[in-house]
Amino acid sequence: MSAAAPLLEVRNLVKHFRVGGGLFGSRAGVVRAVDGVSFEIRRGETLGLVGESGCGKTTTGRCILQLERATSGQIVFEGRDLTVLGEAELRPIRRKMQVIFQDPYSSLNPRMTVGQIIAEPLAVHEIVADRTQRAQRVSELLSHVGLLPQHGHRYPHQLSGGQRQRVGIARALAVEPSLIVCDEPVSALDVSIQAQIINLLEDLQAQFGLTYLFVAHDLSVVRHISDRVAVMYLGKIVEITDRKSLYDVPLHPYTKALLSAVPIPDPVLEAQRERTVLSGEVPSPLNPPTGCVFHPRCPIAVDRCRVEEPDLREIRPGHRAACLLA
Amino acid sequence: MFITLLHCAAVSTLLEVKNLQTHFVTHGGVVRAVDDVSWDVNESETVALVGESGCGKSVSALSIMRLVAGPAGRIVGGQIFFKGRDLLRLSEEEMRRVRGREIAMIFQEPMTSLNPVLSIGRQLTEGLEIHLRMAPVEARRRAVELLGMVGIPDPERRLAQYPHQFSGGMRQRMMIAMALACNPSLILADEPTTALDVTIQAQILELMKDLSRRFGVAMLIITHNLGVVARYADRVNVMYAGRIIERGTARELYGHPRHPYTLGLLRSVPRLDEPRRARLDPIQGQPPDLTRLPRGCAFAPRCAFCVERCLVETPPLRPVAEGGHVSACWEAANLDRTLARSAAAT
Repeated sequence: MSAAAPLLEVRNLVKHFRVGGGLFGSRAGVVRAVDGVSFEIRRGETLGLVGESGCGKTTTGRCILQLERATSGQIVFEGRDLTVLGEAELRPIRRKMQVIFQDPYSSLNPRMTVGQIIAEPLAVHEIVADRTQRAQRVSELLSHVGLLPQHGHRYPHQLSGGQRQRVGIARALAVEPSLIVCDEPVSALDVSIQAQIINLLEDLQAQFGLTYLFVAHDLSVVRHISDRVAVMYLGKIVEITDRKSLYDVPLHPYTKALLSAVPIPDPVLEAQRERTVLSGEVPSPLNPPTGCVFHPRCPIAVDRCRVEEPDLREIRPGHRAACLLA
Repeated sequence: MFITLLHCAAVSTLLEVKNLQTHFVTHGGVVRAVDDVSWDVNESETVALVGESGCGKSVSALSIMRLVAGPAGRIVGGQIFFKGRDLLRLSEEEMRRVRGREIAMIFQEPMTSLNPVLSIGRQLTEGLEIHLRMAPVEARRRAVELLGMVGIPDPERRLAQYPHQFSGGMRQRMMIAMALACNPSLILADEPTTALDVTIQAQILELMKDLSRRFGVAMLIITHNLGVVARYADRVNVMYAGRIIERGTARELYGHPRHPYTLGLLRSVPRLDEPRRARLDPIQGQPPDLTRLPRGCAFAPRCAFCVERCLVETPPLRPVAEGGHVSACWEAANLDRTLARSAAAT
């Protein structure tokens, strides 16, 4: 498997947003949402992308899906660079890449029945042209995600949050994609439902050979589902490696702080645990710090970190981190 | 030993909720959001109220403050004793003197619970001037002190700013400053860190713990995440479908859960301190529809330990261990045995 070309390769992805400079005379600026990100995802694996709000993880996902056009860099999917393709050329490729959104309340059309929602991509991409066959396929998809055929006649508001997320998953599966970007797919759900959806995603991956980019902020969930994990901070990847190395021997001080902030549901363990509470907050991507972007909050930063920007370099085999001191 | 005895003798009940019932009238029928619920908070104690959306945890807090939105919502029964007085019998005027002065509240979403058109300074001094009759100059001095206390740098300058100029974490610090302003004896915190990032969450929780210790304020933390309160709560109440289904000291409840729902919550989340499991162990089924609760135990349709009795008779909260550990489950005593058997079978 390692010899095969990766399904997706992101090279030096940059996405800047221009802000301000409008009617009200605010000063123009550039938000560096994603600032030089590179990684690859192999066929059939799950890459976890973690970070706090505003770190650029969702924008990275949207650029891959071509919902945002990259400012620069390449997104090579199944051997083709998507950033140079036009809308017409992209269309058949969009079928191969689907997305599951965080909020199952706002990502389903309230005026369509569940059946119509799932059938729509089948019609749009002309996968199943015949209406009765389409209905057949819809109930097949519903059963794949653990819903009953009669759910197809209901409207989204008649379903619970967990059931709605299952509809979102069925819609993504409908066009038989090879890559699914899961953008915080469980964080809006009740705790008792989250595990159901995660198990479902894993079953579907095994059954259909899916590849996932799993964007999330919950490090325990990411450890459970991912084969490899990338940690983002302020538009950059600060650490990337396989799951085991990241959780067993985290190298970047930001990853270490994130791991230590995850609460453990055990008062006895928590009482003994040393916590590194990071001071300060994530700086604005409008005006990122010089040198290492993490240095203002870093507990071990030295003078060099203020001026020198660390490369994402291989520190142990297959384990890369962007820290001068790692 | 001697110290613990002394400590025990000194404990007195600050808030006692007795048989509280809060109902909402909806198109679908009457929702018993809080259904005959009793619990208490001792002086300087941190108590958690844990449960999923719709279980009645937020409505419990709103009921204490008498802020349940009418006419749909109404407290239909029970008593809420605070320092010996029944809050439900106070006049609106008397209740105003309790809110913010003696019981303060911190909400989940700091952006929507701060007034966007009032400066930070004004929002802090308003309560001080009304409740404590402080002169504007004095209130301002206290406001600067409060912002410093919650770790907001450069408080003098910050007072003139507006909520939109604060980050999420700073806004939540500001909410804590507002809650502490009049030296209340109880703070109700409704999902205080849910809207925040992981690293900021840790900062805010540590700050709340530190301040509650320093000033001896009792706290009620409402959350859906059992993990968040493990480190901070002295006692934990778990709610499901409008009722408390288990209560105990944090150590007891996390160490020896005696209700299948608590057990399910603890087992369904992946944990960083444990080896990675091949599969998660979710709670089956969907959360209940409160307008159509089943007869008997509300959790029975999702419960792996369900027996016939559960489908007909609602289990009351009964003692299951020392130290006030109670559980509303007919099978509470058999959970360990059933678990051991199923573990042996697999």
